[in-house]
Amino acid sequence: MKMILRLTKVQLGSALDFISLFRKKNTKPKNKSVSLIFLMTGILFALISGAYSYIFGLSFQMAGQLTLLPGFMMAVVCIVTLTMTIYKVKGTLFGTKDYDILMSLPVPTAYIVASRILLLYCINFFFTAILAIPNMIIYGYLARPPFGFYLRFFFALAFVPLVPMILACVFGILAAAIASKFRHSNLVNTILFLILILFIFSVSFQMQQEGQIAVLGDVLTRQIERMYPLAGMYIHGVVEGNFIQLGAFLAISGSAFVVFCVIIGKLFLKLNTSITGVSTKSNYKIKEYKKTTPFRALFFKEIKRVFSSTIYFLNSCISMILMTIAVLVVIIVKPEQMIQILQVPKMMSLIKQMMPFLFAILVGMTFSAACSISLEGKSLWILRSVPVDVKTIFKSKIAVNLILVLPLLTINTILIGVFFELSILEFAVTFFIPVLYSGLVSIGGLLLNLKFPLLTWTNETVVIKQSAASMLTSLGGMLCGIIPILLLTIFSIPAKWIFAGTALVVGLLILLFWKLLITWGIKRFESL
Amino acid sequence: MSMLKIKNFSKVYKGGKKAVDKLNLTVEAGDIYGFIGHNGAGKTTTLRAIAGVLDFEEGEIFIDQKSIHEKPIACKQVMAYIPDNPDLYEHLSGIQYLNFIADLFQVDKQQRSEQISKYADAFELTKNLGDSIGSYSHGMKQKLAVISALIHKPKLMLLDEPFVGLDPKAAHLLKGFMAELCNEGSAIFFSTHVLEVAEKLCNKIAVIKGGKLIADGTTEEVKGNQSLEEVFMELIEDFK
Repeated sequence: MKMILRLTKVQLGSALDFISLFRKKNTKPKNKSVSLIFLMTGILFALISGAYSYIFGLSFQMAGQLTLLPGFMMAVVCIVTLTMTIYKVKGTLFGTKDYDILMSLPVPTAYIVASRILLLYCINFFFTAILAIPNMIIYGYLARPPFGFYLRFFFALAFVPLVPMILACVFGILAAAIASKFRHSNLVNTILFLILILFIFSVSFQMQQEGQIAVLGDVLTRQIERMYPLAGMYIHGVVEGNFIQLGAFLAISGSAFVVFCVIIGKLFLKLNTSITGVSTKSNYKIKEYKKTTPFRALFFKEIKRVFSSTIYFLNSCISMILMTIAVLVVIIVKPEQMIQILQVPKMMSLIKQMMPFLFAILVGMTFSAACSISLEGKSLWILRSVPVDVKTIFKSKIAVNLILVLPLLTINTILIGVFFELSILEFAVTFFIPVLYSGLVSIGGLLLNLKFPLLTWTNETVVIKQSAASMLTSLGGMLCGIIPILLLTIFSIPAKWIFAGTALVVGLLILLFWKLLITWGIKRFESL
Repeated sequence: MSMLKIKNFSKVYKGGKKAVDKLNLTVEAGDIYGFIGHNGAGKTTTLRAIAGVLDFEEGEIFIDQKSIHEKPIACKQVMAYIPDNPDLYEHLSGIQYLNFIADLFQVDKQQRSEQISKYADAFELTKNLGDSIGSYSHGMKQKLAVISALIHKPKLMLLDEPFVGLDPKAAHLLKGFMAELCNEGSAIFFSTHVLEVAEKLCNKIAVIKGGKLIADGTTEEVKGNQSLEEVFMELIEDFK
């Protein structure tokens, strides 16, 4: 046990090094701003969880089903854990940089596997706590439960991420093992992950829909239990104090974890070899080559980088894919529902007014540029040593961000334009406002990445999903989209002023950020 | 004509560590200049600064009479740099990487095909060029990095420990290509721990210790009647 904990401690230190709070003296200097951003993001997520819990809590309270709130949040936490963990299987569980060193040591493989799984658990527990504790506070405020609830809650909290983590690992392993049989394993892996992510989104969307319907009686309980049976046990055990159900929840979670560790321990060597294998043909013959410009060469290099990584691709493109699916659902799958809603007075004009900003929020979540500098990692020397000016390098990264947005945005705008019979002006606004946002997020994201680079990563998931630049860009993009919606709906400012004001502000910000990029940004890049 | 001129170059890292202290050095066209020193002496820092990969505040570095500070693109256009452990783009295939570098150096189609064919055949890497760099061994990555440095016929080649990871045949080939390049008027400045190679290959040697240049000149001037290893050990002792 001591050896497992020792291994876990070392790996945890390495995984969390980017936060730098835990760095000892005489090692790398602490980066206070990155640590602060990480802390503030954690606080923000906790606040969002609290607000979300409060809104649903009130709905459940009206339906007389307040006891469902902790279980509902537990199901949400499980979905978040599942979504976040599947990316980490390759890089944290398998295919790690220290694999050769560790496996050559006189340490049982089972210990190494256990330490890896514990590492995943620690990271997931942190997110579980951020989401679940505010929910507990809100439930405590609304329901005034007895003291026993709080004891049971904190005891069960440790077990909440176990099952979703194991499910994510199983999927991640299966996907990686299947994909490794193909030459284009990354593409296959990406498609499998995309199918799973879309499935998770559809489940969580359905959950929200059913959570918003304040249904009396046992119907809602049964719906939550159907979606995630352990949530039902959690409700009965933790909230209602049923010790048999609580025991079952703990036993199922704990034993699933132990069984998983034992099985993976036995198969670790085989799985790792299978998952990390790369197919080679070794039959290349010299051909004639085409010459292209440095910008195009850099652009295609960047595009290949996005498509070569499942997590980079999904993180960069999932919001545009979801936008397309939502548009198709509205137009093709449920036209009668849409037509019903549109017949509601003023609904049509409200939807037309909000559409550009709804698109802008999704576009703002496509920020490949915000991690493009960090992802150069130890290969940055290549760009630093070639005779290409830094502005061209920046343009190529921004161009990739834009190309991930523009084609699908164009198609979606045309589809929505036809379905909602938008005028030319409405069509132009629906298209150009998100285009401006995409420009802002691309340039702004690149600036943030230059300010907060993370070049010494060993797992690209940390760069793409957990770096300061990625977090700030995604939050900034979302906020920029939400503010006009609030002005439109809450303050009832006329839409034409919002559109004009948004275009002006975002346009000015783009110019300002571009100027900053080609002055400070270039110097910063040269000093990395 | 000097291909590389280093004037009073110093580099201090954050925390006050002085990695290089007032280095002065000149590399002429046709030179194969060996740069030797113990671990942490300042070799990599110097090479990175010349390549334009490391920013510095003190001193000046001129490549082909142009300042690396004032005309970095023009300087890089005539240089090739290979670091000691070249991390390449693993998501690209070997040939994609070579074409990428060739595009950035604007190498025309014919020269590109000829050079890639010549060097990839020599290093026996041709059949692997279609595979992803992620599948390459360390030695194969090293060979690919060398090919990418040679395809645009650089006037100045900067190599940091180039023989590490190369098999004996590849090392022999590299020495041949280095000599060939210098016979055509280019210059090579490289660091190495393998003193026998430096002794046989280089016409000039510089020895660095603790960031300071402690010996430089022709190989004969530096080593005299002794072997380079003996001279190196004496110099390191004398400057303790």
